[in-house]
Amino acid sequence: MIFVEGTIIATIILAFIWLAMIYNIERAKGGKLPRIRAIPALNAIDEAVGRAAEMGGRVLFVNGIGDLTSVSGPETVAGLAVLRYLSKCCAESGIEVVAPLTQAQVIPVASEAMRTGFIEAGNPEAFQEDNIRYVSSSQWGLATSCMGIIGREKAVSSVLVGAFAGECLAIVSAGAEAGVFQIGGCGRNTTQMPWFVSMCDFSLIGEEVYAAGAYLSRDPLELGSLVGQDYGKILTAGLIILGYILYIFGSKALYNILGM
Amino acid sequence: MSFFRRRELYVAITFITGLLTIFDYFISFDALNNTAAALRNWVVLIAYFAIVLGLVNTFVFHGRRVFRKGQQWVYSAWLLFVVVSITLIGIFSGTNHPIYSFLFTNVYGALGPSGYGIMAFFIASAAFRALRARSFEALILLTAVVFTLLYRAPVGGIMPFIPQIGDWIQSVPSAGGMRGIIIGMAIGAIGMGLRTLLGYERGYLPE
Repeated sequence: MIFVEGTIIATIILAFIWLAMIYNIERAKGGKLPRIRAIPALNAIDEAVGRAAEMGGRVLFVNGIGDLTSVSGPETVAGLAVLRYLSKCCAESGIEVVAPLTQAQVIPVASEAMRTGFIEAGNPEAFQEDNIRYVSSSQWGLATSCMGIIGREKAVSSVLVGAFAGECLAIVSAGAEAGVFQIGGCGRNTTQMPWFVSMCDFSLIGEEVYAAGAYLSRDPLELGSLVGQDYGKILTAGLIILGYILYIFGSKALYNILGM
Repeated sequence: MSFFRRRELYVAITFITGLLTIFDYFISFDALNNTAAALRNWVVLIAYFAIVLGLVNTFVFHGRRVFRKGQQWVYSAWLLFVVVSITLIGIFSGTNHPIYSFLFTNVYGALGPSGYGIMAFFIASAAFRALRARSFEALILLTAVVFTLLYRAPVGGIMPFIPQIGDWIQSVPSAGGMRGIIIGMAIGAIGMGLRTLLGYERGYLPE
């Protein structure tokens, strides 16, 4: 049994980050609760729901075009955590949340997340299976469906969290044109972030998407893991600075070590 | 609570399959690698079978709307007609049949490029919204965009300093910012992976 070539250092770094997270989870279990900076986009979900309740409209939730079994899986799961919280808020306010999906494999999980949100709000009978809609596997099918829901079904707020490609611009443009209160963000596809930043009222950037579930749940154990991630960032920043200094002096030692 | 709806069951399956897949990436060991390869094949099969869920969801939602004569039921009826027609033609005449090929190429095939086609107008609209210099930060953004546009335009090549400034914007602040986001995102994904494996990430789990 041997390590695959070029993965030894990656294994050590991964182990370091995981151990740092487990250490902080244990600290949180011991009562040392971490302080997490506010994420305005996630705080604004309540505002989005309140606006829909005032105007008698619906909330549109878009999970993007990602599935659960590829590299887009983490973003999709992060989006589903937001859907659960959003459903809870909507159920408490007595309004509907509509979630069009492009991946059939996400349907049962999204349905369960929405149902759980309604149960948590103490209003399970308000959950409607019809509000989880499969709209084809095409990204443009998703875009046109969302534009239709905004235009015809009176969606006055929208929350977009998941894996997105070019269709997100069409969705947020239609929303901005209709005056929809929009919160949006994606993790992996950095080329789509500018559209969320420019067209949405609040946007999530990069790791904020992955932190959404922990942030919204306010569970100390989940929040502890977020602090553990910061150790990973400190390690990465330290390696970058060290590599830069060594490179200035003509050494490729760190480069060679990291490639082991 | 039913055994199949127990949260512990979902977490246990996620933990075992997740760890197997992660170890497969780092460790070369035949039994482990073969098991992980089999799991990946299962995933592909399950994903294909899941398309049935999509069909059922579509038929239930739009069928109900048609029978109840709900909002825009005509669109739903048309959608169901198209789904059934294309499926029947594909099943009974094969995917090489001229009618199937015509519909696929000239209807479905044309819709994708049409989607990309309208993006130009959405991009212009987004740029207009983003580039209003309402604050100092927005002014910096606007300045950077003007230089980048000139750098990318043919005329930029003959203007003094534009190629150098445009190249610097793209390769230093823009690339640096993007890499910072990517590193943070990668660590965020690692963290989320661990939370999911240990069952702390509960957003997708039933109560």
